[in-house]
Amino acid sequence: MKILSPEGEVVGARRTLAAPLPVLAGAKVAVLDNGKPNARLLLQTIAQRLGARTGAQVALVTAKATAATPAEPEIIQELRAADLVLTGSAD
Amino acid sequence: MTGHVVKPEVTQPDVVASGPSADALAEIADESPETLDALLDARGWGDGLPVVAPTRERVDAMLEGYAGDADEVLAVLAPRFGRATPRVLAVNAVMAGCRPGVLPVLTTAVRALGRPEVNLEGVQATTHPCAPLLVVHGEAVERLGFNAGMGTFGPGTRANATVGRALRLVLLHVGGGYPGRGDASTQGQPSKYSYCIAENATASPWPAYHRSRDVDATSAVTVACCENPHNFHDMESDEPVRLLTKAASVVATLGSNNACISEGEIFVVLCPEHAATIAARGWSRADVQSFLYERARLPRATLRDAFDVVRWKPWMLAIDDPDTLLPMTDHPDNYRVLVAGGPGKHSCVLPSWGMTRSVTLPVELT
Repeated sequence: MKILSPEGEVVGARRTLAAPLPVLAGAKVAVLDNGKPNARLLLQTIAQRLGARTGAQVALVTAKATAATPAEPEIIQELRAADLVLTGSAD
Repeated sequence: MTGHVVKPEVTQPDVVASGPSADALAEIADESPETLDALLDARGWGDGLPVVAPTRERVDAMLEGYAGDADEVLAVLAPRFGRATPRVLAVNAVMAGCRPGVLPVLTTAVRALGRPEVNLEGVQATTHPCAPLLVVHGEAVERLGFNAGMGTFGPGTRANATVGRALRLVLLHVGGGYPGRGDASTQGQPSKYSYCIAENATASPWPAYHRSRDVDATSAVTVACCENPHNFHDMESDEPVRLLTKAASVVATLGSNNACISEGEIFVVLCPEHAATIAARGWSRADVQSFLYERARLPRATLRDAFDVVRWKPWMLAIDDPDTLLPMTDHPDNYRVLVAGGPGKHSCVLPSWGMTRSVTLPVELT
């Protein structure tokens, strides 16, 4: 007996993960506060310590409007100037 | 300058668009409960309850008479980003136990969930226990056998139970909203199994809900992503103020997302007897909305003491008097009032997740 799948095809453009930075010294690090409690404090602290250890520069700290929606296009555009972005924090 | 060297690695493989086609088949020996249970386990499908085997014959029967293109992409459902087509929805409808004929309700509901204002990615993935409520309006209620009366939120009616379940199966299978993977809801809520009611338009003193949302159609559906119903009872009032003050007290709680997010909608589902009591004093639906907006409030200091972060409109943020009573939502129209249920004096409030808007669309029955 044969049955049909309930899942449907997945949509998605072919995406390639960026290669890791070989050297962080001099790299521009950005922080994207995703709107979760204490995200800015946590991520900014990590960025600062990363900079102290590696010579990376904390170049930008920004935030999206709310944790519940994707970052606004202008925020994404702003982040393009960075070599590395730290983001993601949950409840 | 200190150089922290990261070992160069091969670029990760491409993330390729994938997934089974709408015609993908699985082979099973029979359709006994045990066999289907094993299949669900093996594939990671289902809501935990037994299903009906979606054979091609049953899926074709579900699609019979459907006026549109069975392979039209109605919506792309986050967070899996699966393509929701009528054919795939029919598979889920069969699994849920739907009777043929209800597919237009399901396709319209999914089309509504795909609208950006619903913010389905957030709804599916949030830790909040919200679930899309499906409300059926108009001729579809009687024609398709939905229960708009006694126990509309509860069990016992095939259409409510199975169409609501089918929508949840779609959110699981196509949308990938599985607990712990696509769905981070801390505790979940019972309405994540099935959440479908019908508007009791014949017992409502006001125009049908969908027409109040400018949908001029004989049938329609609304999807609204919200919490389970919060009951309020009023056995004694013969006028609106006393009755709706109870509704307002249910709304004005610190546990609701509406306390810290001002843009949320709050659905108020009135039973026919409560609606009649209110309307008997000449109150319109808009009067109910305005009253709740004015009455469901908490002092600014109480709200600010409870939350480190609030997402309020600027005019609410500008108020610094701690004793000022602030509304639980920033506009009267965010109260969405409709009538459903049967005899008795119990109504309910459905708080919102907050960052989502309901959508009402017309349904074209076959």
